[in-house]
Amino acid sequence: MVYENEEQDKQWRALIVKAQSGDSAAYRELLSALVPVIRRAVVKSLPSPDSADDVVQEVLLSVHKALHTYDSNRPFTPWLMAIVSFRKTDFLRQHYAARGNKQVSLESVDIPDYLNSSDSSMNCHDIENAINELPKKQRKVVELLKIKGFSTKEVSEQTGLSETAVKVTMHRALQKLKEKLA
Amino acid sequence: MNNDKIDKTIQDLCGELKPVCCVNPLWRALLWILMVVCYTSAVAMTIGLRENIAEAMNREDYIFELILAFSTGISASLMTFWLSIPDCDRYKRFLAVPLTLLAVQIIWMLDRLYFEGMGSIRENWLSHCWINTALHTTLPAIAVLILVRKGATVMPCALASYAVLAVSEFGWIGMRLVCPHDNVGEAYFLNFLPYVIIGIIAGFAAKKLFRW
Repeated sequence: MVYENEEQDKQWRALIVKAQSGDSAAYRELLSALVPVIRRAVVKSLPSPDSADDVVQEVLLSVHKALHTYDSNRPFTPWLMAIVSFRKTDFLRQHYAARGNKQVSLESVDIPDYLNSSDSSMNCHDIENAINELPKKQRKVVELLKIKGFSTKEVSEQTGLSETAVKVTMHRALQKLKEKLA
Repeated sequence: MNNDKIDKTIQDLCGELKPVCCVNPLWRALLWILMVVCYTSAVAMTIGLRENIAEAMNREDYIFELILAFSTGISASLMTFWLSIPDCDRYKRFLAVPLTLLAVQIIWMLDRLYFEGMGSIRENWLSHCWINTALHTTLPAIAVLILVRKGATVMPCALASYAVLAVSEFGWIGMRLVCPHDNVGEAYFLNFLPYVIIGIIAGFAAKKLFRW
């Protein structure tokens, strides 16, 4: 099997063989070299980058515990990655189990009333006002396309504009709304 | 990122480092198989082989059954020990071997059950060889647990399943050597099934048992 970085694998293999015979300098060099690799391998699948350090530590401890199971005739990377994957899965399992305990029922959640709250109704009015201030043709297209949910073809049939013209009008209307609401 | 914490961990681990000897899982598997074969033979000899062993040994179905159980036991033992190391991906292609042999064995048993029936389970409830099965399976189960825990598995549940299968197969062979009853219903449901169930329940604790 050819790995992406076969040279690096050879170096690590040499270091772990020395570590197995008790060479702590080689072991330190190996573990230090592995830290960024492990971090890169786990960080994307973790819920937050902060937890990557915990998993890296777990993996380092596991590498230490499983040191005697490494066969020096075999590539090092698959052995390491199996441990990384195992510990990452372990961490995620614990994380989601803990998250499950934190779940609360919907009844107990205080959901704000967006329709009646003054801030949100103000926002709705702002949008309505901005639409009303649009030129008649643009307002009509926005209403049909975005509020009533007609397709471009249907809007084109109702307004007598071509489909391309409907799209251009819609684009310009959205630009104006964006400027007004900014 | 908390590099100080990781540096401290590396420092501690380097301080704890001792020379380690790498043991091939295959050697552990062979050691266990050898031990179990000797143990099963010794227990069978101590209890006493079944009275009709000479006649049974001339029957093709009995020999086939023992060979099938032995092959399943050997392949399941190898898988158990191969799964006890992190880099077990290369052995995954052999995962199907013990399972296929087990499937053949189950089909063979169901076929026999169809023709032989369940036997006299109720009458023979207390007079069967289930204690012999317990003798045949307990020590191998403890031994496999100890040996496998010396490894570092990343597939604890699969490992536990194969360990249960390996111990069961050798237990089955031992039981068939000492128990004179050939009816598959009695042999299986009275003598063997309870231990398989115990093994499966123990397998559910695999993650705790094989934690490292």
